[in-house]
Amino acid sequence: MRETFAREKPVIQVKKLRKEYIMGQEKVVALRDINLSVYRGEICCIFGTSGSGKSTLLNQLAGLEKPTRGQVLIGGVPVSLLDENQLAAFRQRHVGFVFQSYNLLPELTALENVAMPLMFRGMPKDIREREAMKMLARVGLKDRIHHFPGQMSGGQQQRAGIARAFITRPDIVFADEPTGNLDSKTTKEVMAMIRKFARKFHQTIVLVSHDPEMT
Amino acid sequence: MSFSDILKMCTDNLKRRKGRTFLTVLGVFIGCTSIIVMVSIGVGMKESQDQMLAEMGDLSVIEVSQQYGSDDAAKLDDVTVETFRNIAGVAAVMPKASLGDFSVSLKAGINDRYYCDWSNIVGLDTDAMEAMGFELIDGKYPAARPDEAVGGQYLAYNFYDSLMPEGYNMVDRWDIYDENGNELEMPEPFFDILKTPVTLEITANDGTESVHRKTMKITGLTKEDYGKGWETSEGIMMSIDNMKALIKDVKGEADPKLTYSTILVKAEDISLVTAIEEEISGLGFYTYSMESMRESMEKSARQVQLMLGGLGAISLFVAAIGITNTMVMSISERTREIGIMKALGCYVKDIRLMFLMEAGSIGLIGGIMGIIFSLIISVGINLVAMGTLSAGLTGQAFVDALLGGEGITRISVISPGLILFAIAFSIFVGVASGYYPANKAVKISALEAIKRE
Ligand SMILES: Nc1ncnc2c1ncn2[C@@H]1O[C@H](COP(=O)(O)OP(=O)(O)OP(=O)(O)O)[C@@H](O)[C@H]1O
Ligand SMILES: [Mg+2]
Repeated sequence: MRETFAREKPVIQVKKLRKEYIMGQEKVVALRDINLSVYRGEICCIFGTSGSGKSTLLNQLAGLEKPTRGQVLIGGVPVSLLDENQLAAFRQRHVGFVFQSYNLLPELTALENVAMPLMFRGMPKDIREREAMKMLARVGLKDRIHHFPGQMSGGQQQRAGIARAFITRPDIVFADEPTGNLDSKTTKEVMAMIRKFARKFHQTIVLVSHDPEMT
Repeated sequence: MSFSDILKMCTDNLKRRKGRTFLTVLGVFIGCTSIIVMVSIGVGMKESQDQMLAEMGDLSVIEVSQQYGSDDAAKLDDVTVETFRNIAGVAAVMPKASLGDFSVSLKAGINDRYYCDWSNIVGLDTDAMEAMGFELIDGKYPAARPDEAVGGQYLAYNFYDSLMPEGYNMVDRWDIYDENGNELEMPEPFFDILKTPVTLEITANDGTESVHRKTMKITGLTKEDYGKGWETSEGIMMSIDNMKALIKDVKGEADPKLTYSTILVKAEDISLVTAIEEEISGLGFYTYSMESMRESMEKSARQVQLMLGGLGAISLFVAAIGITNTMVMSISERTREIGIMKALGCYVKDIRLMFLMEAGSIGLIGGIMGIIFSLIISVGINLVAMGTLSAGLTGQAFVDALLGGEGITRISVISPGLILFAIAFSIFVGVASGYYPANKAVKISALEAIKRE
């Protein structure tokens, strides 16, 4: 179900993680006592059939959902114990997301979308947009910076999404089926791009996919 | 997030849904306008009341009279006058005597050409008139002579001309409008009362029907002041000695113990009136003052203001519900967006502030529009009430309608304070109605970003 390449000390450490959903009378166990370590610079791919709990695991790792039992430590910090405020600060500093459905804000241009995580940090507009410009150039969207998401193709949107995920130089980037909506050629491009960034900044990637071909 | 970024996000969101924003602002605008106009009418009512009272007379004077009904009620005599003088805060005391049971008519001019059937003759301390706050509009106070007195401002208008036919034998001082409704100067009375001696014709009510005539010179005219007595308008005021002499003349004997009809007590300051009045009525006298009248008028004006303001408040309340509704709708539309922002590390407090500001701006914009429109309505109402619409509009008329001034009665008064209050209140209403939706927004989970539609 998972595949890791060991290096130094773990960035992500999962201990006895359990997630149950209570649906009325029934109890769905989505994750059953997971133990896992991910090291710096690793690209961790989570494979599995549909409904096997990949997304659930990723949500626990990223602190989007609280586990029923067990602990997730990221850089030694127990994310499941953080409050809303600490989580926001934590995400600003350590975490990036690439979403399957891109999730760019439709009313903002590519530039504003990419610069958004820096805006949440309170960075002035001119500095963050200069940074966003560089990121967009790196993903090959130099002449799309003032386009709105609706005016871009899926592949272009996802490249903007990748630029947004990496702009803060996060320690870990989480990606839940980032290529799920793309054709095979674009999938290869996008995956290459994620890999390139991860190598360049020595970052950890946690990636969910149902297709083992991806690596 | 920096404040300017939050502000931009919030204005972008308002602009994004222009139609809905406009309708919500419209609600606040109507609510705010109705509150301001209603309150301004209440304030205008109070303003014209105050103007009216100020015209009617001195607010610091208390008129004291005897309790009716019982013979052993406290008497108004010289001892009482002394008692009143010793009350703390009393500036001056003036006893007034009346002619009592005698009926008086007045005659003036050659062969008694002008006559007045009935007049209010009062004896008072003429030397103390100035200290009491009486004002002369013409002439001077009488000297200590048996044939001098002062008259009320409009005394001369009470005289009929016996040589003129019915319908033309009187000067109507209220007839000051021409056929087009324009205001004219008050017409002159038939004669100058300061230059014409007036004869008092006193008939004793003792069955003898004997008539005594006494000719007096009116040396001055007092300014009308109902706080000091109706005679300041249409009566004759003479010294108490003259009054005693007159009574002795008619009755053939002096009244051994003259009691006063009323005693005027002047307070050092308007704020002391209520306390002094209470003390005097505690001594068993009946008191009356313009101040107590003003207080009760003020109280009823305040009630009317509250009622009018309440009517306006209802429409603003409806507008507030409109804001809440709009915000709740906008937040449910933006659930995913908020989830994405949270997943990317947006602070909860920034999200809350963003929505509170959005709601507050709706309130502010509606409030400002409401103020502008209220000023227009207010000036319009006042212009109509001032009659300037028929008389022709001038720049001065607009200024008067907006700012008021001496002798201008405004129906609607919008003060700078009311404007500031309206702005603050509309922002408050906006923010308060955004409070619930904003809390709803911050509770949206970052997980919403992951969910697929
Ligand atoms: N919010 C939820 N409430 C109840 N059950 C849930 C919830 N989320 C997930 N589950 C259940 O947990 C299990 C794992 O779901 P999950 O979404 O993690 O699967 P997945 O491996 O990501 O599948 P896919 O490849 O289709 O995305 C499923 O059986 C699902 O029904
Ligand atoms: Mg999934």
